[in-house]
Amino acid sequence: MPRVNFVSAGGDVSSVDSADGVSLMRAAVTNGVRGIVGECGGNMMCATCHVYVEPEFAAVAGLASEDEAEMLEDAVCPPDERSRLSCQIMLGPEHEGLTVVLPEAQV
Amino acid sequence: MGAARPGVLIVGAGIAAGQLAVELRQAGYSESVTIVGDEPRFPYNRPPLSKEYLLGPGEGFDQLQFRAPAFYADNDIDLIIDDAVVQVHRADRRVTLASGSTRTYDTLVFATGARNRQLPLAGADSERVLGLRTVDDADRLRAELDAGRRAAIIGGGFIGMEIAAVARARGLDVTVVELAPRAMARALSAETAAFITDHLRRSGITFRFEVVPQEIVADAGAVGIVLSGGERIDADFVLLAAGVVPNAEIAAQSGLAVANGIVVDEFLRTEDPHVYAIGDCAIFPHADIGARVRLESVQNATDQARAVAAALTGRPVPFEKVAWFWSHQGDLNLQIAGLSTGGDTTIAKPGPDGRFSAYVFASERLISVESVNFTAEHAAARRVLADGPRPTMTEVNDDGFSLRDYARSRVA
Repeated sequence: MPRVNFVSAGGDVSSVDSADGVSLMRAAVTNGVRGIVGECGGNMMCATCHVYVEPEFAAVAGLASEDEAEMLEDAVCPPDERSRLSCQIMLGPEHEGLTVVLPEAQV
Repeated sequence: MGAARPGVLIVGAGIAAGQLAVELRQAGYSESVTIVGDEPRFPYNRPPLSKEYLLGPGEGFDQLQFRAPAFYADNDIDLIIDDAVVQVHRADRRVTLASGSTRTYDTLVFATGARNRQLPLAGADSERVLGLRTVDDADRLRAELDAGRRAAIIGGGFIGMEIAAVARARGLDVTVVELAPRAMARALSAETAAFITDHLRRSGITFRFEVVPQEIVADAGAVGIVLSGGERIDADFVLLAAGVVPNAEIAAQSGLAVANGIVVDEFLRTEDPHVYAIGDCAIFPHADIGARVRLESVQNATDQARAVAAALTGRPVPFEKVAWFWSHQGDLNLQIAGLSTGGDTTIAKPGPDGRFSAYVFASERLISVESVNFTAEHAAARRVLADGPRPTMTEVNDDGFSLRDYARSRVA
């Protein structure tokens, strides 16, 4: 049951207690965190759940796959080395405290 | 609830409805927002119902929810479920619900979706004949997949093909019966359809094209599709997946134009400035193909919801998003960018590692890219179709052509 934190582009922090085995995108969307859309439902078909992972959590969040990196290129806000699609991060106990910054826009 | 004046009333509680309510509140819309849906469920995502939801017992309803239940009250969205708008009185901007109450609106948005097409077949009302639209339908189908050995599917569209692949993956003998000469004829090029059909056939699925079901015969625990000519396909259950019909009757009864959907303009507005329609129920002018289209997809529903929310908060823009679709069929991930309607030439390019791409042109202009297990191609296609320029047939035909490289070099 990790607690994860979403920092809006304006600096507001939303914290969500998530069940294990749920993606970071689902955790955000079902709890109404603004700034994550997740239009395709987690199928790596859109880039509307783009997040910037804070550097200290890079190792625990892991790297984007090749397909994910391609899809990230369709993101509205420019991806960088911190970028992930949050639908591809499956939460577990190791993600306690995970903090990601949200882009200014997803669509 | 907080808002005093009548605001937006959304007819239907699917994804288009939910997204519109979300977008209105995010844009700072301060009048009332009401959703009226006939299912006894909060809004939920339907795409998984024909895919991962059927594969195992792991997926519960919670995983499908569009938003957590508390979200609606927290955002001052009045969600009325297990009820329905049965009449619209446009002259005084009022609706009557099935429960007998009335509501007034400033803007009415039809997001009524579609329902499964029924076939005029004897025996189609048998309890051994299933459809798939709701989560309850999916639960019923999952139980049949748990217990059954043989599945017969009427309809080789996306839903029929997805469920055929799931049933086969779960070990059932599967037969797909299709009236047309090939699968997915309405929405996919012949080349891509053949690639997918061949793959599924190799997995053990039997396809019967250009056959006409005459009757469904059910006896104790089993069922059969009788084809014209007398042949009978036996199964433990039949899934009817013969397309959908837009839910446009309430709109038609209120005097709005309906022609295979509720007719709207490029702002998704009907002829009544206080009434819009979005998602599966709306037929709208599509700039890229120069005709009115009605699309059945999540992307269309959510992008149209965004467009209407923008219009209602003072930022109207014509709706002209690139359409995209996806379909999981066994281990194939089909992704489509753009609409192939009106296409006259297809260049098909099988790639390495089971990948496949098809480029559909109309009058030598690229209008759609269909790709299988090739996310990079799909992502590039969406950039190219949205922001052009588009590669010529000669460029695509070149052996060394890569849409990804093209997009990198030409699309900002």
